[in-house]
Amino acid sequence: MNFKNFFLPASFFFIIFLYLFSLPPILSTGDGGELIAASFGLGSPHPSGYPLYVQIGKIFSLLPAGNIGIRVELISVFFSILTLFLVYFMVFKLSGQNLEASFAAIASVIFLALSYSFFGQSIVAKFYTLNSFFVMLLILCGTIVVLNGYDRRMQFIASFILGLTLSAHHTGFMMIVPLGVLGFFYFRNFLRNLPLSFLFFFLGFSVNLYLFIRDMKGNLFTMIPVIDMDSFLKVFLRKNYGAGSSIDVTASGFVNFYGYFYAFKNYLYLIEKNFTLFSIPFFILGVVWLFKKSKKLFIFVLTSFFIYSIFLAKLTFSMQNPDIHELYVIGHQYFIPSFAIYCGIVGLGSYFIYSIFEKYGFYSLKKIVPIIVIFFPLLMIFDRLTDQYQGKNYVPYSHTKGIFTSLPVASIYMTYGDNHAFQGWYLKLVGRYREDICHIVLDDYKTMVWALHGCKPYSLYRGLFPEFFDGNLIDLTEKYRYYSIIALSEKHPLYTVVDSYPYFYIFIYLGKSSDKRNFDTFFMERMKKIEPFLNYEDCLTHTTDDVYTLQLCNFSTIGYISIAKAYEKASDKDIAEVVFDQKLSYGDFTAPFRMKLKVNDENEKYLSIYNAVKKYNKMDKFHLSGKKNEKD
Amino acid sequence: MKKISLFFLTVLFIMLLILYLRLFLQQKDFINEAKQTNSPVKAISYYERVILSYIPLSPYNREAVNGILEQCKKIDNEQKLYCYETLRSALYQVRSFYQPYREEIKRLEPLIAEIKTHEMIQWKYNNLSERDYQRLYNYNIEILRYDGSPSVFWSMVSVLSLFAWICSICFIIFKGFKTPINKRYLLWGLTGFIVFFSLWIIGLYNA
Repeated sequence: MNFKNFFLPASFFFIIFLYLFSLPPILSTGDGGELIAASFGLGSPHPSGYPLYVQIGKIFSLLPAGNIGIRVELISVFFSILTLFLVYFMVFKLSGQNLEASFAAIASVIFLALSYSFFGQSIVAKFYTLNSFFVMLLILCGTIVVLNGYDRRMQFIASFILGLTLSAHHTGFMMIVPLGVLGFFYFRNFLRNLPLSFLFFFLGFSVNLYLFIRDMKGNLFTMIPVIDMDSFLKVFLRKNYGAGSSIDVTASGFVNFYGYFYAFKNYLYLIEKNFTLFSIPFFILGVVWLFKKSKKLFIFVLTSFFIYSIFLAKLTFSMQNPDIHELYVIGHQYFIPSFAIYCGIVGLGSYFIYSIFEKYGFYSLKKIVPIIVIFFPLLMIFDRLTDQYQGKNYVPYSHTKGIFTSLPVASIYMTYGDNHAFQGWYLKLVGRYREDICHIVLDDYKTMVWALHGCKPYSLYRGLFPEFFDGNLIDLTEKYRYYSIIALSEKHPLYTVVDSYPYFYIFIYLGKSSDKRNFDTFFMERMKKIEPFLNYEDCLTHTTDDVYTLQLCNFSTIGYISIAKAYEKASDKDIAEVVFDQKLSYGDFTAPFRMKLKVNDENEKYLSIYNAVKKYNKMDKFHLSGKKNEKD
Repeated sequence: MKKISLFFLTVLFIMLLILYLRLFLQQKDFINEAKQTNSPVKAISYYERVILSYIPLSPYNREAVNGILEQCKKIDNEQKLYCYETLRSALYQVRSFYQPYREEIKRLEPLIAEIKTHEMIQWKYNNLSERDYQRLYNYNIEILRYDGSPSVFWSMVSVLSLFAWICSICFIIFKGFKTPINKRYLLWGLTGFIVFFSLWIIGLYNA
């Protein structure tokens, strides 16, 4: 066995091993719970519906291994590996196709695989690695055309894949620009085959029929039902996101050109955080190599890179100072395809150096350096095992389960925001845990418009919640059966009629006219009863810097104070109070949270837990945090 | 095409093997943790994680199910509800094209409905009495027995058909549109596409 035959499978085996051991054991935060629930139920998650992802998710959810959550997470690993293989193949093909080329390609694969964001997206239930796979596949089609000459089959297959991207993640479709540019070089053949290309494009696009067919019948989980062309366009074009809709976002690329400066600055920041600035000289050398290899290829690959880096950053990431949320939701996710292209070009840059060794007769260097270079990116593994390893991250599951467990039978549980809502859906729809709870999801903090995915079928839930279905929410609050993750502020419509009080990890709503003394007794009894369900271990052992996990753990600290409060004693009256005064954020809204606590021998341990959890889950752990965020 | 399919299948197969290894190690760890703890709630949670790391034919699966049932006997009503619900939920979360321990779920559901109904009546703020027992029990048991998940058979038909029609299109493009056009392959590809596309639609509707 030669070096190539050893290093290539060994590298891929190692990466698969690493990813699989780093997968969250049940579900990942953010969209994870929703995508798993939608995949399991063959439903439709948030716009644009992601029909292809959901259908692949369904088949993965049927694998007889582990739980449904981890099976759907496998999709990310699977497409991540395929993307990495395409990167290897491209670097190998575009360099010398010899042993050194293979080593350069393996090094760039490891470099990409162990980079912060690519690693992160490869182990969570999300569609970004599937999207990267499509983008790399389209780049491969273009490369084959340049290397082997025009072939109509490449045009047809690229058109078909472009159609498919519109049933996965819309950014995949942006490959139409570099492919169009390439088509310009072969415009006669390109135009001749355009009608058939349209046909193949629409065949790929037809995967979106899924949304119509599944919603026609009604299914376990649909975020926004597609029943006609209007609703289809609303979902497909993500119109409900307003300025974030697909069309508006695309249009923003052609206005305010000063924004390109911030786009460049922010993207460079991501490159630094993912690959360090040392990679840039290799990237430049790779660009030079491409130029030498073929001008057409140079234009095609660089256009692809520009579209998925600076242009995409202009559309989504051109704010002056991105905050932690923007870094996490945009910076950590959207640019995965550009990172794959970047690492491919870096690989070509390394090969360029090896070819210089050969040119100037440094044969021993040419033999040794490529092997040594493979080991350099492996150093990143130590970082990944301390920031991205999620193999022990039970937080999204146990936190949500803790909330459900703490609720009395037949309670309303109201959530707002993706993180809490999606995990609730997973637990109720996939896990079928505590089906007596009616989980409602607020659409907007300022309204009482909610989604009822978590209490279907209504005919059965109506029997358990006649008050709720008849619109008498106050009656439910008087029965201590209305709970929510939302602490009320004056912006919320319920603020004038009910008060919110901390209850375990969440809040209980109580009518303003209710007797507070009865509530105090209820609170004391209830907290002591559910105290055994308090789970803080998961928030002290998750080993990840995942922002939503940190947020959940910080949110859960309300629970430790609540329990500690219940263990205050009458004899504590002379003890000085510790005041917990903070603001809880719900998207753009904040609600005050203030609790006074007298610390005694009995409740002191909960305070220690509080401090330990706060310390372990500091938000500045997040790898992409900027200096500003670190100060906060 | 054969090489590509083989590559896809090999990656998937290696992934499954490594996943089984991880799950097995997890099961072993959590079984030990469950045996060492004195807290029933924690033991239940550890056993739950054993089940959630389900591997077909693993001896730890049954041990965890029995472990949870054993703990359920030691605790009061509200914790018992947590215990039964945890077991039922964990088993539902590991279903694939078959449901492991289906008989356990069937046995648990009346017990869960019973506890829930009692809890609702005993919740002193509810104004419910024993006369409401049967009505509430019926709602609770019906909710527990209601399964809104799609049919496994039709789901498999639809998703496999989707992959098949995508492959048919690739076949048409790569084999049929060679220069010169190969009409035989085009016809085969087109037939495959029509059959699988129809099956995909039918499967999606019936799932």
